This record gives sequence, C-alpha cells and structure tokens, in this order.
Amino acid sequence: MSGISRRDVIKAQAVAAAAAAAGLPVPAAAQNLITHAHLTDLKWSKAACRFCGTGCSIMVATKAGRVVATHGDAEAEVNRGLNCVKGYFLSKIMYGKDRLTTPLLRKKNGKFDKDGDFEPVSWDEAFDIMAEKWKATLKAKGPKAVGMFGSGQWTVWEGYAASKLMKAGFRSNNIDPNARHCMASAVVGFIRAFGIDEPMGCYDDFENADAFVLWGSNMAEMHPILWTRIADRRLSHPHVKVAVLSTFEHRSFDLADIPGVFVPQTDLIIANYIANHIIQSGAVNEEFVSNHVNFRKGAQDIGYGLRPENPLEAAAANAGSGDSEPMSLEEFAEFVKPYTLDFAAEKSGVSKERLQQIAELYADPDTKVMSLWTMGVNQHTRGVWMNNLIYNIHLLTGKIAQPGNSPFSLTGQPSACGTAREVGTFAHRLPADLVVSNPEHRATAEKIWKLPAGTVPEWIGAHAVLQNRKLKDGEINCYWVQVNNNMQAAPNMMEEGLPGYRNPENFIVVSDAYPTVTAEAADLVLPTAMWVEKEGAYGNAERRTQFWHQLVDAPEGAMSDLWQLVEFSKRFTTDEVWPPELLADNPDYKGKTLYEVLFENGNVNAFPNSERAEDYENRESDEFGFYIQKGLFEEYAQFGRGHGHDLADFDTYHQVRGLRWPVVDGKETRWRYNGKYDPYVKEGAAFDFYGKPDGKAVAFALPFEPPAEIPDEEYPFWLSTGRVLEHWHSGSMTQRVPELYKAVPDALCYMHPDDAEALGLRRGAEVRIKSRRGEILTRVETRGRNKPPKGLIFVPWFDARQLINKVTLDATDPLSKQTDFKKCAVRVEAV
Amino acid sequence: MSTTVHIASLLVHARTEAISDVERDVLALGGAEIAHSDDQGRLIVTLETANEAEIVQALTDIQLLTGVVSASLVYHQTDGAPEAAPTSLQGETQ
Repeated sequence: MSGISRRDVIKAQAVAAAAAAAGLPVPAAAQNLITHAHLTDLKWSKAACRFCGTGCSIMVATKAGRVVATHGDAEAEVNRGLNCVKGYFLSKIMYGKDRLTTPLLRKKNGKFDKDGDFEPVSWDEAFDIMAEKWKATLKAKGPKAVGMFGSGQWTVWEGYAASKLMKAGFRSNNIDPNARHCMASAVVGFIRAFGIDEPMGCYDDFENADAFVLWGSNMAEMHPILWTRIADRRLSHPHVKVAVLSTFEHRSFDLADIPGVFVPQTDLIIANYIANHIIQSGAVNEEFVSNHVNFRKGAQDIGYGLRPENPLEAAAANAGSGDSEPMSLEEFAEFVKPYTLDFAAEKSGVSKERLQQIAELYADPDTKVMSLWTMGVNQHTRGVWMNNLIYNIHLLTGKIAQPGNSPFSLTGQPSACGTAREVGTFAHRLPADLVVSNPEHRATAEKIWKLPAGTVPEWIGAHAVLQNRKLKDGEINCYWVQVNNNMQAAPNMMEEGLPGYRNPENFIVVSDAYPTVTAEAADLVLPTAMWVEKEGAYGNAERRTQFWHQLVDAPEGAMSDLWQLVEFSKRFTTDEVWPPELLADNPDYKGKTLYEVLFENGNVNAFPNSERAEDYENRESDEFGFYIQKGLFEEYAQFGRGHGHDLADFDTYHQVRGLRWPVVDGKETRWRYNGKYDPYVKEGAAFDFYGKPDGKAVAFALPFEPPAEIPDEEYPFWLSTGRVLEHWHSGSMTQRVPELYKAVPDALCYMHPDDAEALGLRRGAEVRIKSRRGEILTRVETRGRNKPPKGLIFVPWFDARQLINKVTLDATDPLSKQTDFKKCAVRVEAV
Repeated sequence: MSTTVHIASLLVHARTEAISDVERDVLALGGAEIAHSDDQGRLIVTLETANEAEIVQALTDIQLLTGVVSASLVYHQTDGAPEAAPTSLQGETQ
C-alpha cells in the first residue's frame, strides 16, 4: 500500500470517528479504534479523565507498561468520543522528566532539619520521622494539632481512607479538601435549599433545554466538552438562546445571543431583579410554589470570613451567620421589590434590554432553562447567597428537576463530587451528607466502621483557609497535603500560606508526583502514583460514579496516596492516639494498630484478591493482601444505600461507563426529586424535595452586600483570576506537557486596550500587579481570548513562576469558607 | 529525517451565519482539510501535521477564529516512520 493511499485510509478513519462523535451517519465498522489493525497490539481500557469535573471517559492504550495513547470514549454518554486538548494529552502527564521517585526529607548533618536541604530517604525513614512528629504532637497537644489537606482529585477510596484515618484514627476533624476553594459555596447552597448536596438534574438537560444562562462561567474554555453539547443544541435548534453573564468578555461570548458584562458583585442584584421580574410579571408558578417551596429570610451583614480582628469583620453585625427565619411569598415579593430593572441596569452596567431578555427566559413558562455556574458564583464572598438566589429563580417558576429545567452547579475537579463531597472529606462532614456535629450521624459512622461509640469527635475541624491560619499561628503542627498544590492555589500566600508551612514549630508533609510549589515549601515530600497507575474511581458533576483499573505501574519508588495512608496507619497503636477512657470502656481495641481497627475490620478486608480482574495489576491489593479498593468502596457504600445516595455494587462500575446515583434496583436516577424519575419521591407526588423534613425546598431572601475590597484611587483595578483552556488549575500536570506549555507558556495580564494606553503600556510590556498584600511581575495582553472591560484585569493562575496568589485577598464566603478569587483591588505599574 | 505524519480529526461547531468564513479561515491553516460541513454549524476538520505540537497549535488557532464556538479533538494517529512510543512521549518538560 502506498503512503498516500494509506494516509487517505487513516484520514477516512479520522473523519468517521468525528462523524460518530457528532451523531452524523458513519460506517459502524469505523467507529472503534480498537478494531484498527495498526493499533491492535495496544491494550485499550476505559478510564475517567483526571482533569475537570465533566467526567469524560477516555480510552487508554498501554503498551510495554506505558500509556501510549488516549482517545475519547465513543461509548461514553458524557463525551461521546470527544476529547478536549487536555484530555488528548492525558497520557503525557505521567511522564514529565522531573517526576518524583523517592521520598525527600530536609536534612542537615544526616538528620531532619527544617532549614536543611532535601535529601532522598527511604520510605521507612520517611514514615519514621512522620510518625515521630505525629506522635509527639498528639501527645503534647491532642488531635486538634494535626491536620490534613486533600483533594477533589483523590479517588473515592483514597478520600475515604484519608477521612477515616483522620476522623476515626487520629480523632481529628482537621481534614479538608481543596474542593473548599471551588465547591464549598455550592455545597452550602444545596444543603440550605434542598437538604441534600449535588444537582437534581444531569447532562441530559443539555439536549432538553431551550435556553442556557451562564452565571460567571466560561464553559467554552473550562468545560469544553459540555460546551460542545450546548453549541450543538444551540446551532441545531434555532429557537434556543444562550445568555452569558460575566465580569469580562471571554470565549463563551462567541455563542451568546444575550451577552452581559457586569460590575463584580452585582450578580446579586441581577438575580434579585430576575426574581422581582418573575413576581411582578405574574410568572410565579403558584401551584409549584404552594406545594413545594418554603420562603425564609436570611441573616444579613455577615462579614467576609477574614480574621476576627480585621476591621471589616469586626464591623459586621452578624459575622458568619447562616441563620434565617420563615417568611411568606408576599413578604419575599416585598423584599425583592427594590431590585427594579432600572436599579439593576444602573448598578450592573448591563443594559436594560439585555437584563429583561434574560429575565424573560426564566419567566416564560414555555422556555426550559438551564442555569450553569462554577467559580464565578462559588468563589464569591456571597457565594452561598448567589447559589441560593439562582435556586430562587428556578423555584419561583417551578423550572427545576425536569428535563431541560435545571439549575446546574458545575464542578472543577474530577471528583469534587465523588470524593470531596460524597465521601465527606470536609472538616464538618461524614459520608453521604452526614455531619460530625450530629450525634446520630457520628453513631452511624461508628457503627459502620465497627468502632467504639465516641471515637469520632464532634467538633468541626479547621477548613482550608483556617488551616493555613492555624499553621501560621502554630496551632496545627503536623500537616499532610495530598493531590494538590495549595501553596499556589490558596489565597494570600505571603501573609498566610508560606509563613505557616515554614513555621519552625510545624512539620509539613506533601505527597505529589511532581516538585510543585507546595512540595518545595514542605519538610518531607512523598512521591506519589497518579491516575491510571492505580485502580481508581471518580464521581463527576452529574452524580456519575466511574471506575478504572490500574493500567500501568507507577515509576519505581512512587506509591499511591491510598498505600501511603494505609501503610502509615500501621505505625500507630490505639494506646498511643486514643484517650485512656475510650480504651477502658472498650478494652477489645487496646493494643491494636490503627491499621487493624480501621482497615482489618472485617469490612475493608472482606474481599480476597481472587475477586480482582485477572488482566489488571493492583499494587495496593498485592501489598495489603486483600482487594482493598473493593473493601473500602463497599464499606463506604453502606452509608448511602437506602438513604438517597445509593451506589451500585463495586463490580458493576468496572463494566459500565458510570452510573448516576441514587442507583436503585440497578437503575440510575437522572432527575432527582421528580416523581417520574426518582424512586425516592413519595408515592403519587409530582415533586418531593425529600432532603427537607417537610419535602419542600427553600427560597431565601438575601440582599446585595458589597464585596470585601473595592477599587479606589490607590488600587484602581479589579483583579479576577481564573484558568485558560490549555492548563488545568495550578498547571502542575499540564505545564509538564510540552505541547500545552508551548501553546500558553506564561500567564498574562489581560486588560482593556484603553487602560493599557492610559498607563502608557504596550502589548507585551512587563508590569507589576500590586495589591495591599503582595505583588507579581507579568506581561500585558490587550488582545486575544479574554477581553476585560475598562477597570478590570484578568490573570490566570496556572503559572508557578507568576504566583497571582501573592496578590489575592483571603476574604471568604462567611458560610462556606470558600475564598473569593474573583475580586480584589490592585494597581498596575509599568516596570 | 523523520517522515512521520500526524493525522487528527476535529469536530468544530461554528455559528451558522459564519460558516463560510470559518471554512475559508480553516483552509488557510496549513494541513487542514474540511471533510464535512452542514447547516447546523458542524464541521469535521482533518489535520495533517509533522508533530503533535502543530495539532495543538492548529486546535488553538481554530478555536480562536471568529465564528467558531467550539473545537474538539476526536481522533489521532501517527503514520510513516515507526515511532518508538516511549521516547516520543517523553517530551521536554519546562
């Protein structure tokens, strides 16, 4: 076969695959790459992508122990064979040249020294020093002085094992995931409005909606595969409308029928205006509201989650209050009445015409609307409020929990839902929406875990931002970070993060695959196996749980987070870490290791290795002698089965392309709370918000309140941070893929050309961005994909050499404790 | 000299009123061909490049074209000189 014709054949194959992905007619035989002769010596297996929260399924090809290719999985409902540029290069994230393969400990003269340089040590030596530090701290100061910071990138069982080790083993609730930075406001919004976390709808809403409203989200770059589904719906159905609201213009505006650039924080005003419009125009769905909705008035003037001595915090009348009191629909209507079209247009800067068009999408009973949001709403000092205000609009119109009518909170991490939220790795949570502060919930956990009553502490642990403050203040002294780059991600690095890690009283351990900024700030670095180097499970934004097998071995020396957590537990006995009273009352537990009481408890070790799939390796199960992933999963699943969070049995997930919980009688649930689809809805009811005792969802009356910092003469610009398509989060993986690095090597300061001109700056000029907290150097970009309005700059945060979080403010939502990375005041100076 | 060719296909969504402009701009990129386009704004584009970096660059360029709403990679295969996968995937890290 000549080269030309051979290439034609390949091209035809490529076209056929694209046609299949687009739903266009295609020869069936060409659909699957597995059948292609050229690739038959590769072993193809499914895996969930390890980047954003979309949850694309990826086919992964291995050859000679390495991942050599990946492609979108044509059998997956989520991505239907498509793949974004990050997913396309997934196979390369494991093969960066600076991959860590040995533990590294700071040493001087042969022993640990906080001021020493990193030296390679054995795993034994690493765990020895760790255990010594943990034991000394637990003895001197108790469980509140140890902490852990995890991730929405933990696999389900890793997050579960970590939570169990911390909450039941060390009896410390000081464990929080980096999902605190991205999803916490969404979670609190869900719990307040519905009593159960996570969206009621699913991705099937994309093909059923008549209108899409993006609240601050740039899906075109951040959720490109879902954006393709919206684009397809919009372009193939001319009646469909897309509204995009943001504080600056970005690529999602390309599809917008109704674009709107608003002044930061005035999304609160726009949402209240829409609720007011719905009421004033008689568009309230009265039957739905009277049967399914309660109204409550929320506490106001709730502060900014800053340190208590901060003047802004001291001045707040109800700092941190999530209290509310019942009100009527009529009182709610009075409450939103001041949010008129004139007022909303004046404050937001969006034209009256466009605001009204968006309000009409919601008000029109014949238009099915999907609202979508991520960080713009969640990373907000009133993030919980914004989540609630969006639910208000959907509840007033009854446009919820039906195909196409869907307030949909997107996620940014592959398992923000599946691990961080469902497993309950937050400082206040236990699995399946249980909380540590509820004695019955603790009793449930202790029963499932086969642990004595009173093992799980009742106190709410330190959340992400508080952990950094407590490290700085010397209150948390032993700290373990896994699967995230928090030194780069957390706000106000120079005043809080770095001083905390380098506090001489503290011992900081970071598990990572690469030498991130966070690893460099640690005392001990543990090399970690990643993604398909271990058997894993993730849960995506639409409640879909997906599994994969270990497909390749990790580099020699690197071990998975699961192995690290479980192996570390062998180094502690209950006598060393539990109080004598607890052991006196439960003598059977005396003298046992934490490994024995947590992981050899008859649940986690219930499944022998003979139950594993024959053609896949499993390092952890080999090490521990039982099928540990299955044991952890099945124990974890006990929490949710029969309680609205039902997961299928372990083995099923290795066969299917994921299932959306609750999975009841083998069937997934696409629309929760809707009697037609959800088996948990009480017999005969059209809707039932069963997370609340009376089955009614809650609409909250919440006002506009100003942000923590507003531009002034000294710091005249708004600063918003975010991501770009090619890089994911802090760039610790994507920056190691040469093609992605070359596409967008350096973070830039996107600004309006008029602002640049006024400052005498040309495109490409070096500038200093300075806030009251810190400064960075970067370069000006006045063209390209992001177009800020005058007075606002946008700087992505993936670039470890230009740490924008030296500049950002650590103001948080007072209810969710999630940081507002989207607005603070800065100055831009020529260098 | 390597004679390896990378062949990839993309699914592109463009605004229907801009589709002919998008087609023109895509064709102006070296190595890009249009295998299909329709009145619902869908284009199937094939790329033939010398290395993977050019695929990424072309994808970025297409995504930033006026009128393009989204562009996703679907398929990729190399052809020509056999590539030793491990070295080709090693890459340079920055």
